[in-house]
Amino acid sequence: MAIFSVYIVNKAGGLIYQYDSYVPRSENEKTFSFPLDLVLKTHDERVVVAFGQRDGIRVGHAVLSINGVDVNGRYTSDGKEVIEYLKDPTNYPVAIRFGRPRLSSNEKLMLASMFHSLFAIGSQLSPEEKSSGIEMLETDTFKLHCFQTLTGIKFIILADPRQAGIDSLLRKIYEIYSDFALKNPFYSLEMPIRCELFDQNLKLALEVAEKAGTFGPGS
Amino acid sequence: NSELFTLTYGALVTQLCKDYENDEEVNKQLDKMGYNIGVRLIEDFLARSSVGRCHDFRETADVIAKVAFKMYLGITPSVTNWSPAGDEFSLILESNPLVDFVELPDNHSGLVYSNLLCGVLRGALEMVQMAVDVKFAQDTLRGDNVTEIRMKFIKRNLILLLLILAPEWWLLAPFIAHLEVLQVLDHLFLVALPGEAEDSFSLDQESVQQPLAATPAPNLAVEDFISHGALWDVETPPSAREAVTKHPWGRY
Repeated sequence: MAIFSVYIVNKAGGLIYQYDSYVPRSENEKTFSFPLDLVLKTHDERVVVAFGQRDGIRVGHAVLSINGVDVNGRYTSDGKEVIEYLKDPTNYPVAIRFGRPRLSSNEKLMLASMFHSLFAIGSQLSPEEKSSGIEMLETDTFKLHCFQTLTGIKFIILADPRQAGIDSLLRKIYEIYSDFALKNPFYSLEMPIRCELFDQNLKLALEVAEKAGTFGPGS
Repeated sequence: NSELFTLTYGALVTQLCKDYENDEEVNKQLDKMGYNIGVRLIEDFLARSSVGRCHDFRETADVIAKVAFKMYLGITPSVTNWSPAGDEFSLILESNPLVDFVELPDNHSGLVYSNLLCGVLRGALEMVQMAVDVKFAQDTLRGDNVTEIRMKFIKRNLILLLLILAPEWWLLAPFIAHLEVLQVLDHLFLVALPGEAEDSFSLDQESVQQPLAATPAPNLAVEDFISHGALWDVETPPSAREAVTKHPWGRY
């Protein structure tokens, strides 16, 4: 539960594997009557709250579902446009679920490539020679651990700041990669990893690390 | 039990001989297959052996002989015959598990039976940014006493090449469309030194990366950085002079 996600980036900076094991999402469903006291706007192909923070619904939260029907971007799964729908008083009362929007896979690709570039910049900026590059990025809500192999593949883990044992977990994932991805003759190097065995073993390793980790010796 | 391994390799070579009917071609195919094995094997080796980056060719030779060969073939070849420049050495194998029960017939005298090993070494080292040339200098199957694999470090050759021919760079000016290329030489020197291998990696990254543009669907072929970092060609140039006048810096 304390390890949020795993990213694997290839030599050229492209994301080849991504796994979210636990995504702490805050979601709120509320029933509203006309007129809606939140101001909604379209941003990046999503309908987000621009103003009117209340009851746990914060600015930046996106509309996730209306009346139980999931929302895709600006349209519901039924094909109705969200903003238009909410302007019409006859549709009320309506139950809308708000929450922090999930990253789409394109966004994850972009972020991984950006990290790859930052990593390269990091090793260039280093005052000492032969720097290892970014090993950890710390924030108040998570820690990002990165391990780059001698061949240029980066394994990135986002975990709870108190989670220990991430270094050995990174090495373990490297072993799992060299076993289940590389030894699979149908897997081409540098391409996205779509190997069942790799997924299963990775999940197992994450579970083991989570159980052993949080109160163990520092990573 | 290595019997299955020996038998499998034997079946592989005989099938290749039947398919190609030409020893040179079979040698090439074995080398290619070895290369594909090597690029994957290196990750397994690094994951399991936790050796760090080697800082010079001697360290590399030791790691190959004492750790890698031991891990994968169960033998420990000896490292000998260092060239004066320190860029070539020989691995002497007392025994070779691949050729346990093999005798080469007369009609296949040009066949390098264990050529797969050359490909493996070449592929593995290429993934850690070292271009080497690997060939069999002696082979017990062809009548020699020991099996000897000769490994030559190519990247350093490039440096010697440039240093020796330094005065003649300006002669090359008419052949170079963009003279700014000569400014790149500083980078090349820094980069081509074996110990600076990590810097070459990050330098090439910068030239290759456009951070937000790396978004094409992952299913499209992603160019691997080695093709951009072509400071060397994997095949050794026929002669120093020829190489320099033709295209000294590969793709620059």
